[in-house]
Amino acid sequence: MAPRLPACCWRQHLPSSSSLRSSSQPLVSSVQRTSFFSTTSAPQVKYGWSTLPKRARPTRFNQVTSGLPAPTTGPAAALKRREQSTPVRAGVLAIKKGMTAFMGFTGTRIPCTVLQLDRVQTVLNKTRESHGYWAVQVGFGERNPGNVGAPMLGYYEAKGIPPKQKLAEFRVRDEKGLLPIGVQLLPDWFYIGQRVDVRSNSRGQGFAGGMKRHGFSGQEASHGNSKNHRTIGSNGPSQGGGSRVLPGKKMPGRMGNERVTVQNLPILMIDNELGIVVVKGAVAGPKGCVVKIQDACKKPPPPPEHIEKTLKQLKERFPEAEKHLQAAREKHLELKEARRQKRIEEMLGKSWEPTKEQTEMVKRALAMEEGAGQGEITV
Amino acid sequence: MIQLKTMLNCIDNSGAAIVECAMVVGQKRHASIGDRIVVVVQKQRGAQAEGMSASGTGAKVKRGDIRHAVVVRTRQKVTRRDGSCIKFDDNACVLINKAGDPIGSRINGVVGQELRKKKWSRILSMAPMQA
Amino acid sequence: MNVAAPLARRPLGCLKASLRQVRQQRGFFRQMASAVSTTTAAPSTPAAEPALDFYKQIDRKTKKLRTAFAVYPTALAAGSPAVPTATTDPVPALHKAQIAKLDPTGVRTAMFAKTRDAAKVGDVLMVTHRRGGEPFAGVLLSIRRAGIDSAILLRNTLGKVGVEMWYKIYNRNVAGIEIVKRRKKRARRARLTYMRQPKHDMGSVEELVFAWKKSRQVFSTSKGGAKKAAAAKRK
Repeated sequence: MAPRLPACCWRQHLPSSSSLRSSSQPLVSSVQRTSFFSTTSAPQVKYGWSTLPKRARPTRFNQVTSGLPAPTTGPAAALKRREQSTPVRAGVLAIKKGMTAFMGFTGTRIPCTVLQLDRVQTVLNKTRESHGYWAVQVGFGERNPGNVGAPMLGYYEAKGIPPKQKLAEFRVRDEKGLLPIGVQLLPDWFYIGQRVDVRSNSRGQGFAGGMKRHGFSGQEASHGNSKNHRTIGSNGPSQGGGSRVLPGKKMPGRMGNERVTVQNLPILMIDNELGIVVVKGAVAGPKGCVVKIQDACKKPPPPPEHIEKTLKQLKERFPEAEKHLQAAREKHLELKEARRQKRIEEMLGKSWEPTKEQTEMVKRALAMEEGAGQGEITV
Repeated sequence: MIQLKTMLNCIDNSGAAIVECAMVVGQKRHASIGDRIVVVVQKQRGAQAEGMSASGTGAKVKRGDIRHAVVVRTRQKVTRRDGSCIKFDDNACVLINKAGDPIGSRINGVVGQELRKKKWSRILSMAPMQA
Repeated sequence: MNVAAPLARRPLGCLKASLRQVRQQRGFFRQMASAVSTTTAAPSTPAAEPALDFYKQIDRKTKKLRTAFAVYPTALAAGSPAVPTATTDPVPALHKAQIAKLDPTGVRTAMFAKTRDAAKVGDVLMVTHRRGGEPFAGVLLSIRRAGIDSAILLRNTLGKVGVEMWYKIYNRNVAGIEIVKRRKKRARRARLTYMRQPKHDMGSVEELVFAWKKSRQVFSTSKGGAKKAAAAKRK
């Protein structure tokens, strides 16, 4: 089937277009996108010629103005499609500390998991413009700088953040979910009773057969079966069926140590002093594994009052965040330049604390440079 | 965890001594205390144990009968809401008819309290003790 | 380093210009250094800028400084001086708080603590429920110590059938736990699971309980207290 032309193409072929326009004003009004300056070059002989009517010549494709429906594929469409299932806010990283129970007043026992937050800081905001999606990168814990490579040391230096043990990013719905950089997220980021999704890696089970790994039935114990009691059997059809193993065929292999999401766990307790979030039920993985906690994607987001409150708290706890980041960036640029010039040793030498005459000298030099610098910039 | 082929003690006076699970009623993998199962009577109570009166009155069920039953004790631990667990040393059941009324008139032996939650109060009231 | 001051004073908007300025100043800097023939000291950093720790990467062969990166302290970065860390295990603290709430008098904790007077495996205990019902008595097979989630395993024989019960000692449904009879000799196992075997099975403890109740009545009439029910507790 031939593609349908947009109305703006065929409408002009209609007879007595002027009379039609006058008779049915609202129908045409949608087409009338008149502008004083035409987007195309004027139809002069100088620019070539065409027998097509003026408006039928498409100049731009896939624009909103072209009359085509919005595309259903591509990054923008994908983001739009996932909008509802993307949480509004970023989450936090935590360590699984183990399971315990809460004893209710009616005698009920509620099994729960203790998750501990450790110096959770925001590290980076990812934006649609520069990265293609909205996300907040969050760091957890602290790492000995000796165990961090130079590129990452520079990264943290530019953020004004100590090297983190673990980095993870949390997709957020839009730019409203982005956070100031370097602020610390505490357990009160969540509230009691909130539903969260908890993601972590399950325990590794090693190499497992089909029965354990995928729940296959295995084979008979007798009836002539020989040495094939727990094997997986056929891999698929033979000639006619393609004579190949289809992609994704369940087979023996490494089991476990894969990301498991437990959805909609209610939060039973938060404690800023201990730095813990206690969720109801179990979470995948052994004690000491790192888990990601984020607002449940299948529940409505937290009430706006709570979101506002937490954002305000972040600002109150670290009002200097922006200033700090800016200073760190500047410092980073300066240090980077010094590293490039191999001047870093001088900067770190024991004369880091300058002597009196050095200070005097530097002051003089600075004053001179200041003048030169000013001149340079004004010119 | 009562499933196909599990042998259970029958602890009522219906005449069956040992029954075998033939089916778990409902979409269940295993039956626990208070669940309904279909059983085959494998062994009747011996005439010498019950005396002449038992054989005289006649057992209500015979060997090979297919009956419904309710599980009242399991070897598998059953966890309660308050975190306590109960575990018996055997699997036992009580025979019932299709309507859910017990076939026997007496129960001898302890039964689990989960029966109350699953609305088997009739059986519970017949039992001499519950745990 | 002498470029820091002008840089810090200007907004980042004119960063390009500032960098150009840095490049321009570099030559001047070298000149000055060579003239004085000393390592040029950095001017003191602006007051707002705190002292940073530097991580130095040393070349293994030459033992010389290869490069260095600034490492910011956590408290400075997070903006708050009191930053909770994961060095403390929160679970014991959590248990302590919960136990304080559920067992304010401390009797439950004391009963299964590792002390002389506490109940031990092999003792015969009786558990009373909050919502009435028959109290369950049995020999204590094991104690599972897990803070607020601590539990005990009792075994008894009821009508020729062995029955085992786990009880959470801090649960509100457990109204009281009483020691009916202490084991004469200390058990040499932590868990007396062998008592499930017919050879070692203790059988019914009903007689012990009956005798204990009787003795308690005798004592209560005469003295007003039971010697062996010292650990009894009611809520």
